[in-house]
Amino acid sequence: MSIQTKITCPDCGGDIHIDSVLLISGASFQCSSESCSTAISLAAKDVNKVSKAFNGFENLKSKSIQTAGSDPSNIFEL
Amino acid sequence: MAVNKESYMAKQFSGLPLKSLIGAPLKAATDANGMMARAQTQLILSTCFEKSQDDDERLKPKMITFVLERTILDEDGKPEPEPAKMNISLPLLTIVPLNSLAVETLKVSFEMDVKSSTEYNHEKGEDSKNTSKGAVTSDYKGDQYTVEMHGTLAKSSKNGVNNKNSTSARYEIELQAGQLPLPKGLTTIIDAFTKNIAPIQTKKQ
Repeated sequence: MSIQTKITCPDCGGDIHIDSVLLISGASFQCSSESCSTAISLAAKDVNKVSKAFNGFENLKSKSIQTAGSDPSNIFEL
Repeated sequence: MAVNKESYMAKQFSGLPLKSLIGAPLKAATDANGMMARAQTQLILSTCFEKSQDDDERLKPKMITFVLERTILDEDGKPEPEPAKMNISLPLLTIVPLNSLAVETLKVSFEMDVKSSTEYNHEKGEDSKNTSKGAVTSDYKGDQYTVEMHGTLAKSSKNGVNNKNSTSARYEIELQAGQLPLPKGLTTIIDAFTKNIAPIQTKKQ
């Protein structure tokens, strides 16, 4: 499951929307501003570091949803 | 008479622990948020920070490198065939969506039907039979006579009251607890990190 996030474009200050799965797979993301041609991609050396962070966050989120989903009252017993 | 009925209905709710009914789920949601926040904090500290080499007690943010590509225009305003590549270094913390783990909305729908049905059926029956035998007897003797008097008194009465009364009320309470924003300290750190994203020219090999 992918996580959507965004960072500020270092060139124009616009938003660069990032999909976690695509980011880890090596895709590049372009700035949402039409006049800006800036694109960013993750350096290969940091793929594991980012992957670990996203997986940890995803596990935490899944655990919360799973616990709450099995019985809605369980959301209070996380 | 209507006032009396409303007053009667209000009395039906007077014993309800509304404070617990509304407060308990809200408190539970807050507790859940707190637990999730703690879990998030642990995750942030373990994955987005690392111990400083100088001081073990200090944590510094883990940095990740992005490759930034930007089209360069030549003197004639035409784009260069190869885009310029630069490295930008930013904290891992800035790309993890921290604020999304929380109980966003809490709705406590509390419905209560009070149906008061009173049926009063009262039948009262009474049979009474009073027999009175009174004998006034005396021998007839000349002008004397015997008199016997018999009397019966019977009474039958049936008094029926049938009263049916049904009332209902519905109360719905809705609470919405919104998502709490990030603590100001953390927002400031992330803002500072974000503002300091500066491209660094990639060294030509």
